[in-house]
Amino acid sequence: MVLLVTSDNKNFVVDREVADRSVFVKNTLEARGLSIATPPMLNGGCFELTSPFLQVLEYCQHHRGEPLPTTDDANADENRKRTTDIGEWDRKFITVDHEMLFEIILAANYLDIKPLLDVGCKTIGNMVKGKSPEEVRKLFDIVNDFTPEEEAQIKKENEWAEDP
Amino acid sequence: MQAGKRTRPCKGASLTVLGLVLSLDESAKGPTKGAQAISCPLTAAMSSLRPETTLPIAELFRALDLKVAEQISLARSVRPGQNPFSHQVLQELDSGAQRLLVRLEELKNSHQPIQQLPPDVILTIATYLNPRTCGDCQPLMAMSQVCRYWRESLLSNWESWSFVSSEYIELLPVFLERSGSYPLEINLDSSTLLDHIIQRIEPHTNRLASLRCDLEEANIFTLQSLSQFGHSPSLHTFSIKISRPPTDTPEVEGMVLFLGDTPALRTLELFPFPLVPQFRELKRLVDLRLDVRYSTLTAVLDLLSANPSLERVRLLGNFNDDEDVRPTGSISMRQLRFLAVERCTPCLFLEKLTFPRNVRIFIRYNYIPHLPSSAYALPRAMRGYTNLQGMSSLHALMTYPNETYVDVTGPHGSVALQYTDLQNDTILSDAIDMLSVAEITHLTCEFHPTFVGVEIGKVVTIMDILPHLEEIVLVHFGSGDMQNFLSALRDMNRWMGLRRLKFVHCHQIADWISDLIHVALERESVDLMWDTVTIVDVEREPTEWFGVLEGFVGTLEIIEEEAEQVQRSVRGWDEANCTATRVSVPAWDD
Repeated sequence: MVLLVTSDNKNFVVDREVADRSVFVKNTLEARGLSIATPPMLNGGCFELTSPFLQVLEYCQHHRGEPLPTTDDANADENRKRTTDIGEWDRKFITVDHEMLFEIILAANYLDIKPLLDVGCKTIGNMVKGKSPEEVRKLFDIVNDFTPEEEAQIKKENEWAEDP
Repeated sequence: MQAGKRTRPCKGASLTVLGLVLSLDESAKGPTKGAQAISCPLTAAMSSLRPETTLPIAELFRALDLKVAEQISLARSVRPGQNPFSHQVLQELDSGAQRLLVRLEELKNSHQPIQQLPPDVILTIATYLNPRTCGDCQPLMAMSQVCRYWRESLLSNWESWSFVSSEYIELLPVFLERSGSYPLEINLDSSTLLDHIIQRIEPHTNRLASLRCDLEEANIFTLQSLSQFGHSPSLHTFSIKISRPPTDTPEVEGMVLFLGDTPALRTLELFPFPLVPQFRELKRLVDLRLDVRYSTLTAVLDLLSANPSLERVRLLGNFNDDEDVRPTGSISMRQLRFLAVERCTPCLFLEKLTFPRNVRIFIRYNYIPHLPSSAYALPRAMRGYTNLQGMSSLHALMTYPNETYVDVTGPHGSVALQYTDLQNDTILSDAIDMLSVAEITHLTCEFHPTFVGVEIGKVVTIMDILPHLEEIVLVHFGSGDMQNFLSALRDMNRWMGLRRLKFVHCHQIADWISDLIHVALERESVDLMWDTVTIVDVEREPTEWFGVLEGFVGTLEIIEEEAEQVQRSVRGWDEANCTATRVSVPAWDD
């Protein structure tokens, strides 16, 4: 068992198998020897910690025991990148509001939970797919901050797709 | 993961790490036992998070040069009716104000939740939107046009732009430029601009990693310009598929492709194409896929002998000519792991090869309608092939007219008789001849629904020459067959190693299953143990079998097309001993 303490002082006792879904936690545990666990999260001030961490734990619990992606299997990594399909459970899991989605992605990125990071990134990718830049801006409340020169360049890039 | 390529401001306090480190072993009574506080150094992963900055007001003003800032200050003091500014100064002010607005918008953006994602995550999202994944460049282009942060993140990553397809050939210059010096992956299909495309690619051949062409017959001559390509040190995959194969005699016989050096080439695929072995420097070639209809046996054998590093070879179609040409000497392929020969007469080919024990071989559909003798090609090949005993897996389809065949995998593999007219003595003789040299462990008999019960005697004859059988699969088996089958099982003592028995799409055999189990139990005394009985898509409900099989200690597999549904049914009974598996056909490609 491993006790994980978040920066807002919440304690989570989890099985080692669950904690090991995070490569960051796993490596830290191994580096320090099995007798010492690791702080799992940091307070970057960017997100409320406990809430995404609960979600991350739920994900790790569900996928415990599954083989972890290895860095030396380039083909598997390549194949994984070539599909945007998301499993049914993962799809339901990641159906959250935008803010929580981004926080889960940040947490997965920091904790180095590649499969979860992929699920989050695929979800955003699927949201963006088929949308114009303006529609994407509207979706995520992004302001067009290009200079007129950049706008002109972008317009030129888009000429190929316009009707003759 | 690429960490920290670019940093972004974010809200809140500066980064702090609070780490309480505890170890809890199984015997620990409370969560605080052994607690130890440590500081946690920032890791690479953390560095990809953006550090907090103060509100960059000064940066805002830096967006305006000092001169413009002075003019703004002056403008504030102007009274109505006065205009101390020249046209040029007004233009500068206008430009400065615009830059200020742009900077303000950028700063506003940086506070949006999605903009907190670091650049490497933005790039990971782009991975799922690039043309390699989507088959379309629009999502990647759109993403690069949303805001400055996304655009800079994407444009700083060459890999995102390294896949080029003729689908969006108008953007070819954009992709070639943005991919920097990253290895290129290029997919071409039929296009009137093919000449133009190849011309544009040519200066980049030194970073070409993959070139795949899926073209119509009309484009075949255009491909000749590929021969102009020079040194391609990175090219690992070269593939040409002609979607509408040329008829009969190839018009471009002798055409030379790709004269340049390709020392890194690992995969070569020509489907179908007149093979001209003019490639140079193929010492690393491991995967070869050829449609040999326009190639001669001699050319293919030359290619194989010149590439001893080949690990996977797939050949489709019958050789163009020289069927009777028999080059002397054998070709040793020491690295070969997989060989597939489809729709061609393999006898001349196999006789020339020697390879290690652990090669997987697939031979199928070798019957050629206008070449009746091809029906017997496989037995001929196998008779002549002295290394057969050394192979770990031969999967062959001995095709006869009327879609009957004998399917063999072995030694230590399987034999499948599907719709096979075993009443035909020639076929039976060929089958026995072929099988007798192999240590067959798996037998599949698929009976033609209209001949149920007719051929079981012949099947038993074949079983009798297979003393190494471990598994028998019976397809379209009927109750009439079952009686004969049980008699054969009782009478014969040879199948000591039989472990698994499967019934697939069988009818009205439920009443016989208990007899079968009794035979199994009787034979237990002579060390016959059946581990598994598999029943596929039978007429009974899965749960009905449980009573029939009471006392059977092996594993019961019940397979239906809707495996999940069956799995639910089985769970209510004895999950430990039952599995439900979706039926799958072995893939032709490995």
